[in-house]
Amino acid sequence: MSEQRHHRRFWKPMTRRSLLKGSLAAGLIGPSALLAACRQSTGGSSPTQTPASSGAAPSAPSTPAVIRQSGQLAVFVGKNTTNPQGQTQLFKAIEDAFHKKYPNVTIAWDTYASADEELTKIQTSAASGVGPDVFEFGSTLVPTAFATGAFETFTPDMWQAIGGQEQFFAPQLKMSGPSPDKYIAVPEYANTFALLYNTAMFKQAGLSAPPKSWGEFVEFGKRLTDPSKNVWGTAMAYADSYDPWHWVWLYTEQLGGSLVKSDGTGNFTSPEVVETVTFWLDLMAKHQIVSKASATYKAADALHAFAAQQAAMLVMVGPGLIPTLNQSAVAQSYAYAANPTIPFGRNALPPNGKPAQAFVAGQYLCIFKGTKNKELALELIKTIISPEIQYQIWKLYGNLPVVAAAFDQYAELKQEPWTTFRSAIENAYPTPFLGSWGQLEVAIGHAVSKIAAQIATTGSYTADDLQKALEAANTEYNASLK
Amino acid sequence: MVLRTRAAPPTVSALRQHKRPRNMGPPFLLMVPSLLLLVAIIFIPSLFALYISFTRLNQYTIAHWLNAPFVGLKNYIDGLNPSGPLGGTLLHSIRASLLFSLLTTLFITPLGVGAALLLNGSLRGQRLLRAIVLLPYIIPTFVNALVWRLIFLPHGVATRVLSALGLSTPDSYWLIGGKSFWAMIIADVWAAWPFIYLMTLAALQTISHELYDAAAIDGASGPRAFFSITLPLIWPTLSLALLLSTINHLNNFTLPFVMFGTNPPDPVNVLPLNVYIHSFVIFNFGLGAAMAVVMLIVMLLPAVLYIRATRLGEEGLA
Repeated sequence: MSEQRHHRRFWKPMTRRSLLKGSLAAGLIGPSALLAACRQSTGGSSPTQTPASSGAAPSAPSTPAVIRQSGQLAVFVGKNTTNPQGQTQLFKAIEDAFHKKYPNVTIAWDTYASADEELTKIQTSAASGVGPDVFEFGSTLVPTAFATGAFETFTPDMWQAIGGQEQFFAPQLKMSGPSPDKYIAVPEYANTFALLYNTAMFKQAGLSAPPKSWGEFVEFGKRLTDPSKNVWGTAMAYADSYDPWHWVWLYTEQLGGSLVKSDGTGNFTSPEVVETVTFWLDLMAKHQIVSKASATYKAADALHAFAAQQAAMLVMVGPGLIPTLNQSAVAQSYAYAANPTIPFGRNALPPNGKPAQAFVAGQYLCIFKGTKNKELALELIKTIISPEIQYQIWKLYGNLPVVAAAFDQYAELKQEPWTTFRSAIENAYPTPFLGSWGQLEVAIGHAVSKIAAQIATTGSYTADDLQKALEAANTEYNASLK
Repeated sequence: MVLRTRAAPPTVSALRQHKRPRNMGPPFLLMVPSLLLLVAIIFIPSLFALYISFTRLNQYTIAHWLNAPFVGLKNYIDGLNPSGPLGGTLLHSIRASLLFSLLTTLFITPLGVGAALLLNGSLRGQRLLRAIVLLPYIIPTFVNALVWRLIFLPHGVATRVLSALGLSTPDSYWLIGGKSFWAMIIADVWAAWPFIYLMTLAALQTISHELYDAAAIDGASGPRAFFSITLPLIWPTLSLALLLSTINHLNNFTLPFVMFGTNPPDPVNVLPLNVYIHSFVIFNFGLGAAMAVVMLIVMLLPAVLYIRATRLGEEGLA
């Protein structure tokens, strides 16, 4: 206490109330000043640029050359968790090709490990106006990225700078933007979908070829199923956040329906969507070619079931599984085929049905609107879509080229299963270009997983249960629209 | 705390001294940098969250988020209205979170206290046991969640053991339907009970043996000694542990996220997970922020009640 009294001579007495007032004022002013400072830096030189590249040295006569030779390009791409060493090799190959023209420009790679990180980066970059120069997005995220308005629209000159639109498979461009004059994304590589099946299990069941229709799919599934050995015709990731909408979209398109109406609102209770979801759920409830355990499966669990020879087929899966399959018990006994296109109980497609084998899928490259390195970004994109780098991407990841030249140039890509995948790319249909597609995925997934859980725990479901679940999903989706 | 229970009642002069204005300048000024940081990283973002909760901030408006349309209480109403377009998702999550938090705390309390009483006495291998019981608490939450997801997978360890004991059928599913809630509670109980054990053990070690000796001379039985000596003396620490534990469970995002992902069954769609899904998966930041504000209020309630009940912090000011 004596010390406190001593201090009183030097410090102005402070009550809790006055302290609170002072702190509040300082707290409000301090961060505001900080934010203001950040805003200023956003509008000024980019953190990825040298003073020369931001135009701070106009006196130098060779400024454009200096910009090209001493800049830094920030690139945000997905992390390849199955082959991280391969990704390092790929980065090196891209850098080597890029440095032929820009030897002193550094490429700063930043990777995201999950879709959640990808989403967060879009959100923070869009809100702050500060972000990497080039972003890599999955195809279904491009509409969301477009909705934020944070990415450059490609002009004819920009397309020209990367070699033109003609080099790409036409369906891949359908997810680049809502219309050709509003494209914001350049296809980077394709990740189309097909049917995966176990050739040894097929042979054992006396089956010589993969199913061509969904009727055959069910029939083959029954012949392949043996519940006493926990072996099933197929495995479905009913509890996955994203898988359900893949199959629901595919089958709905084949029936001639659509998940959304022309005005973008949900169409989940249409006869085609109801028939679609019924078909997928009946694989477990009625046809019993899917284990009830599938009601708990995420995509990785379904893959595990296939690799452990507990499931003979997987629908709508891509070549990204190949590295995992090659290290599993089915390494020598798997093959890909086109997804069936004739709906169950029919001999042909319905009048408005589309022979869709897959939706347009893959990764895309976008240029951030706030970039000061547009020229460098275009050169990087041009490098990545060159047949040589496309081939490297395929070789290292198993992901498919988006330019026909790569398929034509390399003999390895003219063999199975790659010809099947090329056909799937050429026959893929785009999903509706909606900024709200993410909400649709969640709503569909929720409805499917709910009824699948009901089937697993009670053994059955009714048409009324399904109708109510789809109505709730439709209402939830519509409520999230702009 | 223990000393306070033994202290004589404050005198009138002491009370007068308590009310007298005191010089709090130096200590408070030393706290200013920390307070400024707290204001910058907690208070101001909270204000932003409150503002966002009154707007329609989504993927269409995020690039100009300060100009997002103002919608008043719509996000709160949509979230809380059971017959609304979102089916009262917020209300459902509040219920799930409160049940999860209270039940977990209810289960871990006897476990933690019991283990602390056991390991407070002289026991062979006591040091080793004390280290072992802390293991679940030391393991990172995401690892714990992954392990329990594997245990609860169909045909996993949980189903096999329970069906072998006749307590379950072989086709029981713990990661979907109503059982998913209990799977989450079991996983959290396993990870959280050592916290109660740790706090209780610390409190037990401050109790003088003389009190128990005196009680034994007076003929008090073991239970009587527990309820008359042990429990009152560990209660201040135990109640703080229960409060912190309740808040931790309310705030637990990692466990349900890793165990069930972003398409969780309804019974485990707790508040933190629902906030995350609406904000960062489906871009409905307005509703996500409204949920976060409600979550903050829900978590503040037990803390405020506790502070008022124990008059926490007054000793330091006296």
